[in-house]
Amino acid sequence: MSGVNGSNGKAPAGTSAARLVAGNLVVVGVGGQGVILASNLVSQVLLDAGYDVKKSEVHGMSQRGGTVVSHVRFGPEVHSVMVEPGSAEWIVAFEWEEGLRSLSYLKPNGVALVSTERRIPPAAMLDHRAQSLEYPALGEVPFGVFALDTFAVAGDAAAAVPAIAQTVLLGALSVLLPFPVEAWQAAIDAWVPRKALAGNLSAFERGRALAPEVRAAAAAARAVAPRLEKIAPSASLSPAAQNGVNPSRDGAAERLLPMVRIERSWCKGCDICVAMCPEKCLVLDELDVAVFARPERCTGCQLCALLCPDLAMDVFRVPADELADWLPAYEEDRVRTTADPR
Amino acid sequence: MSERQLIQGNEACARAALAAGCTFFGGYPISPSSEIAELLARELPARGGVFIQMEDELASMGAVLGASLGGRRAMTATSGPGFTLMQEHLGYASLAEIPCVVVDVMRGGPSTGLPTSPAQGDVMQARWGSHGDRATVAVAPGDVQEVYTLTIEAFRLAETLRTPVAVLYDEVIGHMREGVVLHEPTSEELGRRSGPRGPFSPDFLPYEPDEKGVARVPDFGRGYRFHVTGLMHDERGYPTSDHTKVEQLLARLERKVDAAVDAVAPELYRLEDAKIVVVAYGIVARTARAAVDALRAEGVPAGLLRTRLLWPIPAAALTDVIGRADLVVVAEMNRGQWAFEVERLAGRHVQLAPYLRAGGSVITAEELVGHVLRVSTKGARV
Amino acid sequence: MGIDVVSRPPADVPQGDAVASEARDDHALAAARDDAWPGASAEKRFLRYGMMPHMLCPGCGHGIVLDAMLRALARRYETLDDVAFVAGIGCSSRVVGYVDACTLHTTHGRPLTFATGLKLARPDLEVVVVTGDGDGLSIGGNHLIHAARRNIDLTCVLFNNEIYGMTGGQLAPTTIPGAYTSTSPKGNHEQPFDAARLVEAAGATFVARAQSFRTRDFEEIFLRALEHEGFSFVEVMTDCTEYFGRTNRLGNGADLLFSQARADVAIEADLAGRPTLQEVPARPVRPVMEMGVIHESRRQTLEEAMGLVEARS
Repeated sequence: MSGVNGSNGKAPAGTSAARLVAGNLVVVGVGGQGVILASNLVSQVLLDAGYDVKKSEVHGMSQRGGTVVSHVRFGPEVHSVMVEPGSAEWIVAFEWEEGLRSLSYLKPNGVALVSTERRIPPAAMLDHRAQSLEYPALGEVPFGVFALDTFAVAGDAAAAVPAIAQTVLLGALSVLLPFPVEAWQAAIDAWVPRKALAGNLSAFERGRALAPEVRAAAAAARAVAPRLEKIAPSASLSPAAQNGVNPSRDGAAERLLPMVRIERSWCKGCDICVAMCPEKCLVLDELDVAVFARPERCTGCQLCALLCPDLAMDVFRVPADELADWLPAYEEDRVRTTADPR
Repeated sequence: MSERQLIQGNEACARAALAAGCTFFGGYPISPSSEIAELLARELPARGGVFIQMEDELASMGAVLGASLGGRRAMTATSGPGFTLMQEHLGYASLAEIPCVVVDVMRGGPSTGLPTSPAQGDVMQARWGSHGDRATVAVAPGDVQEVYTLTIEAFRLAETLRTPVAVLYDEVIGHMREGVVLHEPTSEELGRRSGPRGPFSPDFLPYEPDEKGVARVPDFGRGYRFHVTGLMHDERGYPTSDHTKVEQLLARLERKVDAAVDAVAPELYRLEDAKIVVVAYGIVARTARAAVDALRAEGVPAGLLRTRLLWPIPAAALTDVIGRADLVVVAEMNRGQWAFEVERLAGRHVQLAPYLRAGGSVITAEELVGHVLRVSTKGARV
Repeated sequence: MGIDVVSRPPADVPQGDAVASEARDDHALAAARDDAWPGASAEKRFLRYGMMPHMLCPGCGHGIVLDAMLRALARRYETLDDVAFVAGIGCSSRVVGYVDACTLHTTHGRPLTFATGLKLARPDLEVVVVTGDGDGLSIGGNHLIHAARRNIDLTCVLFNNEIYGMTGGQLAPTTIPGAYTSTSPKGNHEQPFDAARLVEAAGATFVARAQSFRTRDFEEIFLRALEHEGFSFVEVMTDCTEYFGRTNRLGNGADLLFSQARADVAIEADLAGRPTLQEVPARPVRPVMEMGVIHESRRQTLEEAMGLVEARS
């Protein structure tokens, strides 16, 4: 705790923040995850504790899925709203890659609480070039990164609203900050929509219950390695590709079978193709990317490709004996993209 | 065609545009600039050019930029209120590097102001009228002949530097008639638009600068496929928010227009031994010249620096002249726009006594002489 | 239109990222993709691969419209060297950046003015204007009626998603009565424009309305608009899932598409069922709108009148 705060001056009046004079927090994530709400909530706690709080937001042009960064600075008197690189005591990242990308803000003895959820924002893929956004290589991930599978921790608390899962991180953060749990609960109550209140409070508690691990991570900031678990491809989605022949088809059509190719890096998982497919050939996988799961039922109607807002789908016919060649190659591609962190 | 013709300032401007190869005019009527549009409405179609009266000044400027990207030398003419509406697209043209010429025949402002009276109130608008830091070129002819030559030069600067160029003169010059020689410009005086180095290829970069820092944007429909945007962009023309690239882009745009400083030099009149320097441009420079002559006749060592370029500011010439002066009098028909710029360049040893007037009448030689004598004797006593 | 037959085994096909990381830019990428993915439909050769995936939200109808426009263009043009796309500001206008043509992303509301200058400078170019309901009808409404009045030979596609998406879901001049937006928290109490009828009254000689859902219909209409001589205006109803759909609890992208299917009537139907200011519905419903070609006529174009092109009878 003391190693994290790094200061022991006079606290603002009327608070229990006996050893916390000032601090910098960076909250990052992807549009739609609730980054702004979370940083508002933390700011509320700090404000109620008597600090001068400055908060800035950098987010994209309202597009869902864009990078969102919020800087929170507090102390007896704060002027600049921006957290300088290398000066954040805490980073809270709702998304794994965004968390890695924000590590340059972290103080050497700081702690980053990073969700293992992965949602690469479109900007990161814009020109398919690695240098378009800089990510540290996994081997370079330095110190104090506390990785958390927020969905697993949140469990049924996030069942109704997935974004609630990230509130686990606020629970974990609350362990590192010297404010009573009631202050956090009051802020959650003040900021969170009614229908999501119970879920958020529950997720917060579950995050707070990780206190021993979080404290250990903070105390030995340098020793903690990222605990990203490989996201294994799900066997249940494997296309039935072995012989891929539609028995209802006859004559010439039997020799040419429809193939739906999905450009995975373009698909944003909107679900339109899944909902529109008359034969229910398509599903979304665990990364919310469309998969041609039941090629044997496809009639080649092209509805999916015509209504794909991401221009990510192509429907064409291939000779029946070649379909099997397409599907394994495609499956391999899927597995590779899924398993590889980049 | 080398004999002198008695023509109006606005007509000289339109004639210059035709001589400079302008084949597109998009405009909206406004006093006191309308004669330019009226003449070009007759002359352009007859020469295979296009004249269109748009629905407002925003549209005029948009049409001019569209035509320019279509490969035309394009212009519009307006006055203060219209110039205000054009600012958004002037910013666009600066950033997207689309050549165009905008003539602003200045009238009294702000707002509808004095529609038929002269003023020099758009000097700062020409510089800072658009949001953001935009590089600007603005020339200021001082008589009808110079309206002709500087309008041609404005087209050359616009095309070679790929930037909007403003021609600023006041209502008096616009409506004044003088004997003018309408010479045919040489190919050097016309200049050539910077364009791509070679044919279209997979690694074509439309916003790659040439050796003068000017982008190599081709015209539309010439076999090049590329993107033009008002967003900050990289050399491919695609949007970027990379801070380093944006800084570099803005710095390059500012640097490239410095070429105008060498191209449009100020007129130095009786400055060799001058201790009192009058700085003026446009119509005021004419009365200032008479004032300098009158002061010299009285034995006062006065001289005139008449700038023909308002932006970018000819800093070297100005500091040189100011550095040798005891008293600098900037005379202009506004509340002190270029005077502020001169003040920024002047050292502390120089006494500054601008003579400013924005009521809608021209500063006379007599009142300028009186002002100089008043402040210089006062200065001597101090 | 049948679908392509591909008989090339995919063994040597570089997949997704492999192509992207080796290629140096989008043109090379497009070329690589042409070779690499024989299954790619024909219109995708007109995409700037280096710019994809696009920046639109999941489920946004604009991508569906973009694909349909490219399909129509692929039926008319081999390359887009002589096709210029001019767009304003907004989500709709951003789509031109993904088209491998001469693309001009102008200022808010003004694409028609740039397009007018460009078309008069180069009457031989095909000039397509992409605008949105805020861009084309609010800030740029004046330019829209004047372009229609002049009957200049442009093709203007107005993406109508009934909201300002890029700025965060504010009220648009097309927002239906009662709809919630971030600047109409108690429901919209203003009457929306009927864009197609407005432009028809202003003098356009080809006016149509289509839906992103009936994407093949839109494709045909857009092709006819391209072929039409004179000002062609196509209003296409598309869906903003993130702001319009979510704020009004109309469901996800697929739900919104299905709701389009319930909201169109043939051109002959009367418009009496349309909600008016007097009868603001408690929960916004999609107004029933006429779809199809609303007006088509022939009159001298601006270019013909100016003598820039030979007059066609």
